[in-house]
Amino acid sequence: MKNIIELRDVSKLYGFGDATTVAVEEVSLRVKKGEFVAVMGPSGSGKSTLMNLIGLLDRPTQGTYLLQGKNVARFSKWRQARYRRDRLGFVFQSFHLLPSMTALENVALPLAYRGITQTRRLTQAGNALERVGLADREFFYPKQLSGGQLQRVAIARAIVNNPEVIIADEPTGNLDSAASRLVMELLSDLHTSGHTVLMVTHNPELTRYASRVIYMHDGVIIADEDSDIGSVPTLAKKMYFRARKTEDDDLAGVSALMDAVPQKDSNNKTKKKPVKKRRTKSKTKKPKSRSTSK
Amino acid sequence: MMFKNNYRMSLNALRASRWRSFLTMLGVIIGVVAVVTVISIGEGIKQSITTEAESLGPSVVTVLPGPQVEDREDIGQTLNPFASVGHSLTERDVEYIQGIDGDIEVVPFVRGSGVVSTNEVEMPGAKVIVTEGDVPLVLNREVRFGTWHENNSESGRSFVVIGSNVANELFNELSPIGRSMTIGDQSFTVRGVFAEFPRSPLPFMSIDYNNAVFVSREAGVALSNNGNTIFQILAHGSDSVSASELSSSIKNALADGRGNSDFAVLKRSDMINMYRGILNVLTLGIAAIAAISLFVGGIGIMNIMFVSVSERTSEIGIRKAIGATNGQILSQFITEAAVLSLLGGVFGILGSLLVNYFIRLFTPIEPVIVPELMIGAVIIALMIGVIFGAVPAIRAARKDPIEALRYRI
Repeated sequence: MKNIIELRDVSKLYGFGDATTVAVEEVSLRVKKGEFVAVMGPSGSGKSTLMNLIGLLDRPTQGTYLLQGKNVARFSKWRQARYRRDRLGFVFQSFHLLPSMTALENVALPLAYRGITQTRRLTQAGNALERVGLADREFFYPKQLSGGQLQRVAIARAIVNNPEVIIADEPTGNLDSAASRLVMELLSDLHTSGHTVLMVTHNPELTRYASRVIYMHDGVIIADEDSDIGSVPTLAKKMYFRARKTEDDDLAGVSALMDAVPQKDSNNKTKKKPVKKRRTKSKTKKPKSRSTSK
Repeated sequence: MMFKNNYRMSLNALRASRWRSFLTMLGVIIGVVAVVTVISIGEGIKQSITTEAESLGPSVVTVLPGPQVEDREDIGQTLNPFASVGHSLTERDVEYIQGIDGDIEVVPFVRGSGVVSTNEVEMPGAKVIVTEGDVPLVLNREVRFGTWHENNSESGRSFVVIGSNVANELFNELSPIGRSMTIGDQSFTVRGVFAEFPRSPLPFMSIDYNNAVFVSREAGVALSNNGNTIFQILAHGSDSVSASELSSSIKNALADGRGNSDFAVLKRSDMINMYRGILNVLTLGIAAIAAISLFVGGIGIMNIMFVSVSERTSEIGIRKAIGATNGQILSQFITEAAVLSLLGGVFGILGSLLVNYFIRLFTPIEPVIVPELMIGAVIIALMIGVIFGAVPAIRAARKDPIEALRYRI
């Protein structure tokens, strides 16, 4: 299948001189049409920056970004906006719906920027809302909806233009497990129906919906493996927890938190495909024994 | 299409913060009320002066002392009371005009002095006009009570004809005919009362004949102590002669007789243009000062748009993420500012209609809002919105989508 997204040595730097921070460092990535890619990594690993670059909200400092074979990183702001409108759909952690508009109007908003008449806009938005199971919430305002419903409205907005790529930045970060499940099922449905989905997540459990898992650390992709849908890929999980076990994380109390996460060892059918070894981690402690694992 | 969306969006946004929108609009409303009211007062005065001048009758020509200025803008110089100092019309000028062929009624006005009073009441505001000839004809107004004096000092008594205000002030509800009054130290008998003249809103610009006492020349010699100095000659031609023909023949006659051009001959239309010229300058001057408040209103819009843009940073981020171009964000915010000030303009016009109603109620001025003024006010309000909304809108359009999305109030 064709590569829908192709990054070649893409870097993103912030700041100048001594204050320069490397958010993404020479990342190369190919995503095929119809893949469901989960991007994992600790905070500050550059996964959100990578999503922003792919979502054309940001420009790489260096490197080439081909979206459907076009070097979109070089596009004018205007053309990038057109691409965002027609080919990309965003789902954010904090929903980002406009509070002054009803669910239906929020979903119809991307169509407005396409110059579609209002009646057609609202019809299409209604269809999208129906697809996420919120047909009866059309005229509710965001403050009248629960978190899960808000995220479903956001998904409806992301798909109303029928984009090729859907970018979800921690879509379940603010949701409880039941709502998360619904949202993930929806994203999974979109994947099955042929959309390419890129999702950032902190929760390794959610990678069971993905067909491929990428693990990032310090701006670099350190692991990349295909994953069977329905199972959590082991390597990503392992890398994830190992990386968590740093001194800094201990100081921040993250490792204690991670220990509390129940581990499910799935039937080891996953294909292992480490891309790159962790480079410098002398500080990495030995993993503590995990009492919670079954 | 896009404009309709923007319009709808901006109405929503303005509705979301009603009080703030209203207060911002108030700046524009006050500015528009100020400007529209000033201009409508000017327009009202212009129209009533036109009515007043038209009441003279179309074929009356006015001769004034002092050189004639042909330039329409400067024609007001002729009317300036100080401009006539050192210039004068005399009895001989009256004779020159009477010498013209044709049936011309010539009426000279000489200013008389002396306080007008009866035994009980004194009227300091009354003007004494010493004159002769058919005044009711040239002023195009009939004597409602009594008669005009043809020969004023019959049987040794001096008669006067008075304006309606003088009649009211001096005699109140009594019939003035046959009653006596004094001007200075001379005694007169009232012979007639003029029907009311249209009231001039700017009485200092012309004589209010309602406040005038008309004395015949024979009886008024003692009152006009500066001799024969005539401040105005009115000439009424026959119906077959047009006003411009009459005025040019008077001009020629005077120029030939006097040997100089130290006089002005004005047709009715000249008078109207003259007053209009003066009023236009006055009105525009005051309106320009009132426009400062409109400018301040514009700054208010700019200020509130800056606040609005920074408050809605996250909204801008969302809109950009789902595909709004910078231009679309720009036009959204400019439309919002324009709608704000456009509504201010519309409410301002309604407000000035209200103000005008009260002006009509409590003052003699009758302001007039012409349609052009309304359209102009709306257009100017719209322009203020666009101009003052531009900078905040540019700032909104240039926001970085990622930072805008991350923004928390």
